[in-house]
Amino acid sequence: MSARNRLAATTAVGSALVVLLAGCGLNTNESGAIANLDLLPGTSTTSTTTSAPTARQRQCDEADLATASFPPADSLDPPPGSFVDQLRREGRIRVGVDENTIGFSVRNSNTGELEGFEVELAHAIAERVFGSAYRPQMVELVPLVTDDKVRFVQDRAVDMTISAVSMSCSRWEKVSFSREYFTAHQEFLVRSDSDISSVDDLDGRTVCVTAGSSSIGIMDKHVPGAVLLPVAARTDCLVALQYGEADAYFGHDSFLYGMRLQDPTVVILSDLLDPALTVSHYGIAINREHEDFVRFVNAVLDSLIEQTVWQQSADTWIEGVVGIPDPTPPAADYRRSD
Amino acid sequence: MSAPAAAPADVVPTAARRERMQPVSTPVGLWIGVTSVVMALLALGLVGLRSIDQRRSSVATVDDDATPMVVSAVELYVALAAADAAASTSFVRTGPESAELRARYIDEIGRAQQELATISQAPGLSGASEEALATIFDGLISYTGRIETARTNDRFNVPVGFAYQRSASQVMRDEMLPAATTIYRDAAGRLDRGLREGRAPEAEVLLIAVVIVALLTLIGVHVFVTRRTRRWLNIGLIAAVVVVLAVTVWLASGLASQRNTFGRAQLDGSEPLLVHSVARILALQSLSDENLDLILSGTDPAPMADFETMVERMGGRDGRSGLLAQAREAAGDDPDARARVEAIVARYVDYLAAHDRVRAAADRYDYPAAIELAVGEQAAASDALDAALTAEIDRVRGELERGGEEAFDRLRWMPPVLVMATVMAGAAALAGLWPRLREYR
Repeated sequence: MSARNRLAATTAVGSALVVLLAGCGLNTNESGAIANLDLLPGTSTTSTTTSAPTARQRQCDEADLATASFPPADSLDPPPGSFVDQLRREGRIRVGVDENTIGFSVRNSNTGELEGFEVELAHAIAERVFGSAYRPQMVELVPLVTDDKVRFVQDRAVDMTISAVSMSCSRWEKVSFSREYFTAHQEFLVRSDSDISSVDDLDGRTVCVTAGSSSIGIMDKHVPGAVLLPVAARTDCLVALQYGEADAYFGHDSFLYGMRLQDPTVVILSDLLDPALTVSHYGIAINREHEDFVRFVNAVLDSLIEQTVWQQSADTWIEGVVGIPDPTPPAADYRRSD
Repeated sequence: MSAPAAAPADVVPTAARRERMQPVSTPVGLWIGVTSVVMALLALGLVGLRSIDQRRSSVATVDDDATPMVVSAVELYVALAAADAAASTSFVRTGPESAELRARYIDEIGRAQQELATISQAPGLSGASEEALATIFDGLISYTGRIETARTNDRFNVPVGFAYQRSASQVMRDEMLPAATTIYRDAAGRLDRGLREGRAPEAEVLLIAVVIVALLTLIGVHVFVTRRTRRWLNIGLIAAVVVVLAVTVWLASGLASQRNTFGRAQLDGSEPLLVHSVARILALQSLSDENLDLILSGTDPAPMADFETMVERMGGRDGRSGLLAQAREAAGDDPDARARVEAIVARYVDYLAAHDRVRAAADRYDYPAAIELAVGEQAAASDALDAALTAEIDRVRGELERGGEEAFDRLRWMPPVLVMATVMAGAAALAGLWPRLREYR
């Protein structure tokens, strides 16, 4: 076999193999469907923000105007074009409430409906707004977590929030408040076997607070040694306490009494902080644009207190259900008209 | 053949010159030839066996390991999500606890445990999957504990029950379901890799390369023998070449056929399996979103934002985009396949319609009504959608498994045939060379 022949033979074998290989279809495609794995669900996160005080807020603080609302309207029959008139035409009022606070606003798990002192207050105001046209279903109760109570009023997602909102100068920057409708104090809730008996004992301990609540400011100022555990809903703090994730819960006595009803192994530590530092004045939050509505609501609150409607409701829910003794209506504090 | 070869004894000047010019003497050359033929055939056998083995192990990974794992991982996700759906809707419903939802919850938790047991025994779990399994095992204890605490508190109309229910759902959504997704992702990746490796051309290329080496060796030795012995044909070497060529053609066509079978298994099996199982996970995630929104009474916008994302990925508002569009495209013009896709899309559209009715009630803050709709209509629509997706998953899984088995069958006889062929080729080559060698003894 000559060199040329050999070459020819090799080439023939080689090209036969090439043909064979080509016939196999050597391309292996990348799978397209595997890209769909990127579509699989991931986890979501949430965040909260805080803002610095303004000059007007400092003025409010200095003049002690946190609890001072606009004077009540002279008449419960506001003129056309007012916000109440608008509500009447819409035939509904949206009220932001909590749904976990026994006696104030809680969802009854048997009926699925919200009930409590604040819910009755919402209906009482609606009755004055709509008059003889009032029907319970006109009141749209919007469940809100603490962090959203003020924001929803600002965004007009609700017409008012009645949800243990403590009146403060920093919140006056965002919303207006009605006159005070309930006075609470913030206290500590601990397990009954807890060794915490003074503020000093809280150093380095985990204290649960509701995110966006006034409790955070008080803790930062007066118990800076504590480690804060912010949660979305008030009852989440009871879970944290039961799981041992928190050593204490700092919140309003109006909630803490209700927590004690849910777990007999927790106790309220009263007056660990000076009551003057922890007093909380609840006002109804209303959009800043609707001063006329604030005045209307104040006139309604005045009359509810005067006609003992406030007292009856408070006796039923706050004393009867929650167990806070002798609730009394707070005194009105109005700004001088200017 | 038996005639004496050109021995150095009967020296012709030209021959002597030629002999002097040769780098090796004929007997040494023949011994080198024998050694190279044996080496080349040995290499052919070993490399061939290795190529076949690579393919076989890829096929085995797909058949015995990755496919069941993908299915188990989806089932695990589904069982966990369905258990949470049953627990949370049962919780938010008013009145006494529904025995039906409670039974469903227990069933789904049991099913999740079974799948966990299956997956934990699977061979070759990745580190991430093992970690994810541990997360789910731990989570299951925390989750079920929280659910029972929520139930007990709810019996007494104690609001902290809500907090426990929320925290349970959070454990499920933030820890357990993502872990289940990790396991699924791993399994799907393994399936895809197995299918691609099972079709990788390296096996054939390597085989062809050693075949060429073997053939060139045999031909080279033949040329040498022809030149030195002046015999045109060495039957033994020719027979070896024929055997090598024949077995090569048989192997290459077998591998090619296995590759095509695998390609079809990927196209008709694993691709739709991935599309439909991801769709199934997304659908259940969206149901979980809706349920969480109802537990939270809309106080957190995140769940419904997530719902919209899931819907967008699944098929948009009308089922014409996302994964459902992919499924429709894959169905092509095949009327049966199209009908199957359309059936799924119809269930999907029903599900979204039920969702819209739940939303309408929730937007009025009429949560009791929204919850009744979610427990009734929407749960039924979700079950129907899940059943339609499951039916398609079962069908394409069948395709994938059939393809895998066929591929395995194609490879079944390759190793013994290859061994036999190399031995035969070796024997033939030696038989051809032995008489020539003997002449130099």
